[in-house]
Amino acid sequence: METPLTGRRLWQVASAIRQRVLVLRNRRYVDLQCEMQNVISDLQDFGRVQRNLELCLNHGWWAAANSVADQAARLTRAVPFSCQQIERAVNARIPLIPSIREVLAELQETEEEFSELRYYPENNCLAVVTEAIELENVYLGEFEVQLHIDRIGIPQDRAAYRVVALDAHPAARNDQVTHPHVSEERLCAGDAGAAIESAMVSGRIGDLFVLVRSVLTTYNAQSAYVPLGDWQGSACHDCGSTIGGDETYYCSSCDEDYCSDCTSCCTLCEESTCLGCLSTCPVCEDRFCPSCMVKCPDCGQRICRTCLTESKCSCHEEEPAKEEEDHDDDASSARGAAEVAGAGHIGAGEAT
Amino acid sequence: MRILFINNDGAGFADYVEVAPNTTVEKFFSQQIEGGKTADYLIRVNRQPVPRDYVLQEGDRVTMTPTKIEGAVTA
Repeated sequence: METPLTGRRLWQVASAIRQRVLVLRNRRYVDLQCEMQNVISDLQDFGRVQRNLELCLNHGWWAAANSVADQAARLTRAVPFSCQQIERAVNARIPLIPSIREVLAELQETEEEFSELRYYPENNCLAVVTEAIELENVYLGEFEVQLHIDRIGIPQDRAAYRVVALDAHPAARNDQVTHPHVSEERLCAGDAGAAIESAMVSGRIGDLFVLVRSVLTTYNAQSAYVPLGDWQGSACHDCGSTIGGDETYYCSSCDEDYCSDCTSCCTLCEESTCLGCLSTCPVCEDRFCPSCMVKCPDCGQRICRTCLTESKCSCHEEEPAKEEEDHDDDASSARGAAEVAGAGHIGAGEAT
Repeated sequence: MRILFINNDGAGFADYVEVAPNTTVEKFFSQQIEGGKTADYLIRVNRQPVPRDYVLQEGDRVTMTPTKIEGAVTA
C-alpha cells in the first residue's frame, strides 16, 4: 500500500538507502581480501608442485615429472589472473558516500522531477510514474519504475528495479512485453546499463529514475523484444491478415509468420509449415515440408522420406511389373515352344 | 576551482573536476560531452535547472543526464 513519503518516514528511507551504499562500499574490501587469498593459495600450490618435482627428479620418475610440469604451467596462468583481479579491485572507482542530507535532497529532487515519489513500505520500495509514453505512434501508457531499496547493488539480482505498466498495452504476440525494451517488468537498459548501476550503488536515486525514463522514451528498433512495427500483431505473409501472438504460426522453411488458414503441418515431422512450402508426395499423396521431401536416387522424382525408405517410389513398382512382363513373355515363349513341340509331335504323328 | 561532476552518459561516473574560472555551463558541457547537444541532456546545477550562461562556482554539483538512451534486448 502506498504511503506518503514525508517527515520521519522520508528520513528513514534516506537512511536505508545510505546504509545500502555503505554496505556496498565495504563489500569491495571483502572482495579484495578474497582475491588476495586466491593468490596466497596459488603460491602455496607452487611450493607443493616444486617439492613433487624434486621427488620425481630424485627417483627418475620422468612421466610423473611431466605431469607435475603441467601443474606448474597451469599455476603460472592462474597467478597473473588473480593479481589482475586484485589490481582491478584496488583501482575500482570508490563510490562517493552521500550523507543522509544528500540522499534526502536526492529524493526531493526526484519528487520535483516526476511530480510524485511513491513509497511502498511492505517491500521497502520507492517508485515514480512516467508520463504516458508513445513511441512511433504506438501508445504504451504510463509506467511505474519501482526501486527495491533492500536489493540495491546485489549483483546477481537484476530485479533491484522494475518497470511496471500501469495501463498495459502489451505487444500482441507477447503480453509480457509491455514496452519494446521491457519484458516481465524488467528493463533491458542497453547503453544506460552502466550509468544506472553507478547511480544505484552511489545512492543517486533521482539519476537512476531519470536514466530509466530516458530508456523508456527512446526506441531502439535494432534491439527490441518486439519491434513497434509488429506491436499490434504481424501480417500473415500469405493472405496479409493481422495476426496476434497465439494465432501466429512460424514457417521455418521460409522464415515467415502465417495465420492458421495459411498454415498446415508436415505429415512426417509435424512442423508447422506454410501452404506454399508444403509439397504433396506423388506416391502417398500426403503433404510434407521441404526437409521431409527427398529425391529418389533411381529416378530423381521428389517423394517423401517414408515412401523412399519403404521403396514405394513408382520407379520401384515398375520393375516387378517388368519382371512379371518378362515372366509372362518367358511363359508364352515356353508355351509357344511346347506348342511348337506339340505341333511337331502332332505333326510327327501326323507325319507318322 | 573544483566542482563535482556527475556524468550519466556512458559509465555514469561521479568525480571532482577542475574547471577554469568563469566557465559557463554551456562551455563545460561542450568540454565534457563531445559532439553532444544540450537539448538532448537534462542538465542540473545543485539539483536545479540553470540557464546555459550560468557561470560555474566552486563546489557546484553538476549533473548531465541524456534524455534519449537506447535500450537493448540483452543488457
